[in-house]
Amino acid sequence: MNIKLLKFVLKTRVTSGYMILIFIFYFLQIVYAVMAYFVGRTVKSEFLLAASLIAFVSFMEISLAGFNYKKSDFDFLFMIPLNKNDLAKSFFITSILISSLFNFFISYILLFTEHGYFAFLGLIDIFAILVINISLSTILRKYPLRTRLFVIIPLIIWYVIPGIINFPFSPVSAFTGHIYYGTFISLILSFLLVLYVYNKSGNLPSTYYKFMTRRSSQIKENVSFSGMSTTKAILSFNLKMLGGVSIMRMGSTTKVYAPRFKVTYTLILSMGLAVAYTVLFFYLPKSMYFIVEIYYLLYAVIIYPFTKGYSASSTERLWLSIMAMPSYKYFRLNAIGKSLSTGIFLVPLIIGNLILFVIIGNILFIKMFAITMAFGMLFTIIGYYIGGFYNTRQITDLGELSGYARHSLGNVITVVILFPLILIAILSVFLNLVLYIGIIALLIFSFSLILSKKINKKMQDRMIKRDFV
Amino acid sequence: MYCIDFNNIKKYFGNNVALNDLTININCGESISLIGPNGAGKSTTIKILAGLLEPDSGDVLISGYKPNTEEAKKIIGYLPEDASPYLTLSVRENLEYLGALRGIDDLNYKTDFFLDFLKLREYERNKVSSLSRGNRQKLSLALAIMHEPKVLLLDEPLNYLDIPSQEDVIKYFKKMNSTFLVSTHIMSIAERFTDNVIIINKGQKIWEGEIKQLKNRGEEENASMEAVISEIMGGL
Repeated sequence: MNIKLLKFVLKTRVTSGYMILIFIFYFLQIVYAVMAYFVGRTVKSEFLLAASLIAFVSFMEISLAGFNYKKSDFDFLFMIPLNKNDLAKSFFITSILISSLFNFFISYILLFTEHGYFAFLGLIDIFAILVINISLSTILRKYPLRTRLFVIIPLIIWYVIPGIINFPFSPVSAFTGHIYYGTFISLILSFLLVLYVYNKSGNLPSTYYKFMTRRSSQIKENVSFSGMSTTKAILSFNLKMLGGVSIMRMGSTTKVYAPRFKVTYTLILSMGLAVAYTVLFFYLPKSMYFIVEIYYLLYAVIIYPFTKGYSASSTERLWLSIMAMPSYKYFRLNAIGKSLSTGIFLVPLIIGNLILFVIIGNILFIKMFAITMAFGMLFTIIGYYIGGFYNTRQITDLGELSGYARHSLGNVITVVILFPLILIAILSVFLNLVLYIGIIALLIFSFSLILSKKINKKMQDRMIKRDFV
Repeated sequence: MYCIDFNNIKKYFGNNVALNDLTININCGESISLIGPNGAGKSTTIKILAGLLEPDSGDVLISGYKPNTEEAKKIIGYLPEDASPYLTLSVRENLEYLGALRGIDDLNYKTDFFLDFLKLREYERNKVSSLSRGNRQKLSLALAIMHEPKVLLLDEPLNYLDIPSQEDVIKYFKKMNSTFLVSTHIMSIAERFTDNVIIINKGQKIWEGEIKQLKNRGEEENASMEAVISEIMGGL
């Protein structure tokens, strides 16, 4: 193992502040384990929560982590006659260290799913699951996303199953009452996968390169904007398609991913989710209602709508939009368009809650109906503006794109702003007063963002300052 | 009245002076190249003229309007260096979307014209993310000029273009009868666009005149035009 090389790869990917954060989080995990030693207990009704949480974090890790290459790696580092395996191992270990941040968010399950005596073993399980995920992410990275999903989705189901039925044969089983089986499976699987990655690692950058240099793509059907007014064109842009951009550069080759989907596809997806969500409550014990609703609230009503607005700045082209019209008009219309697009996604879930209220008669569902209607779209607007101010990632095919780990301050500020908003949304499930005040507060907050010329001008200035083209 | 009226502009980025009392006045219909070494303040000048940056002091007017007004936006055509259109949209969608945002009449005709003129017809359904750099630059040029601006602010407009495309674009620009400010650090490009040149360095104007004058001086000193410019730039 070439330690100097590992240090170099690590240094060129993350700041030392980020690494300190990682080590603080590792330390906190140990603190959790000590707490769990004294208060830990096995609570069966929380198994689904534990399994879902691990499955969700794993999905993120397998989909997003893996080797973290930069243009300068292909321009310079890979041109140096270094040992291929040393190089790939350095990248692999770096990926594990960077992704360790995810694990902190699942470590608190130690507190309520483990018997006190096994809390420290739980730390090993969590780390082993991370290693499994990163290894798979590394192996699968060379395949297109659709192919990867064929492997990832069954794997995630395998992770969730122990939360639903008594199933000892999954890495997650360590947290659902099958400590020995779960730990054994995690350790064996992580060992085998690491062995595979280490043996094959020398070839991974080149196979990844081949994948990245494949070119795409003609669209099947042009969306026509001809004859539309300004307002209609912007709304049409947001209501007909969803898109995102990410990039990978290697030497003289540039690969820009610009996937886009029809909004109707998200409607179909949300219809499927709404059916699953609605049916689930007919089989759930009442004691589980709140746990599922908090998850529903976090992902469907807060995270997805917020991320949709937040990530929009990375695809923005100020030299075109802002030169065509005043920024306050453009940002305002764009935020409204994105918010309406979120509204389309939420319609089936809103209907699902209404049906649940009518059939089951629990007041909780009418609350969720109101929260989904009121908060979901507003979170997209808020996300759009916070993204404009603090999301420093603008993706073009030019210049170096730094990873999220290099924007810790922006991320922290985003979380600081987002935290009270999430708190309001969660508390509003339990307290009617918070629900009423929360709706009014979020409405005032988002409308002041949309309407204030000053805020829109400041957002434009911040984006220009960061060389948004 | 000047079409580009840029008077005593100062611009700071923190403690660094980007523009130091810079004045550029261009008559309507006139074309001028802005030349300078890296970091001279060319892009900052163009961004201030486009209304994307505000000066710390001084006055800027575009045909009598402040740059960040709707009236000015209607008459300005701005092409930044390494411009990038919307990557998730196709070539045709970019033209139509921006045409709609600008409220261009006869948009279908204009779209078809630029697709053919810039030889982008075969890529009209391609997402911009899959285009070559040259084709992306052609599309960016079309997006900057499709509303027939009276004042064109172009930052390295010929980057990545093949030679026939460069010739076509220059011919088209010359027919436009607009006011041009072309920023470049390549003298041969400046020469193909304009007869006049302004040389700036460290945010200050250090020379203004006809390209012919630079050529003559080169002949007198038995030096290339680039060597003459290099000498002028080093003279501050």
